[in-house]
Amino acid sequence: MSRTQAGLLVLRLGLASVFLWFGFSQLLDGINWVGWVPAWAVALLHLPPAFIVLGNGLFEVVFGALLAMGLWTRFAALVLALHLALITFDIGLTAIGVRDFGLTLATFALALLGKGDQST
Amino acid sequence: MNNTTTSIIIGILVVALAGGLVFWQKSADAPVPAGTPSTAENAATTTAGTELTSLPPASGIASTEVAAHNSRETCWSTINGNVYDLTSWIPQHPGGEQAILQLCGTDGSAKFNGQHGGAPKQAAILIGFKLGVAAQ
Repeated sequence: MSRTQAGLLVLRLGLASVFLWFGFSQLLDGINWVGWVPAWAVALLHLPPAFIVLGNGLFEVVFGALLAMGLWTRFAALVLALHLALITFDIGLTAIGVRDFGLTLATFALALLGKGDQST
Repeated sequence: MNNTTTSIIIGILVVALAGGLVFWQKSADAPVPAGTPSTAENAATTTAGTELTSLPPASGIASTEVAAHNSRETCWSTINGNVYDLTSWIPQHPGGEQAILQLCGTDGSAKFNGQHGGAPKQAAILIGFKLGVAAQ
């Protein structure tokens, strides 16, 4: 395994861990996340915020798992990056927003680079 | 074992670890039932499971009462004239535990407003932890 491949593996598993933790947290402890659901999402989806939290959690677990397993890495990373970009824009210029901005760009980088072998 | 199989096995392990970690955290943070309060007439239990020594008086919660709740186990803070029990939020705060721990037992208005002032989401989350108004 080259250093580039090792770096991509660390990047991929690290980002997957982040999405999986937040996804599972929303599925298992959704009440703590309801306050983060933006009003526009409720208006757009016509769903209770608790449902949106569960859906978002499931989405992050599924795509985080794809990332972790190296399946459709570029596609999964691109979808997650777009998802996180939306969240970052919604949070705005706060400490959390700036942190998520960095994570968004790292996920975009993974979408550009892929898993690091020819299969991706 | 080829690369794809190895990658999938590692991925499954990461998924299991992340899920297990969240489940373990949730189990560890679950509030312990307070049982029957010894003074049932004037005792109450907060969302975090900490027992109030008495119901918040109509005149508001005294700053000395807030100051007594200054630990990870029982963390109250006064923010913009209201008192909040932030105990259960400590491990959940996306910005890290320390950001909440530094508010325990104090008037956290300046820090909260400096970080989240005017943000509706954070204000909505905060409402869920309200105990009452602070005494003037």
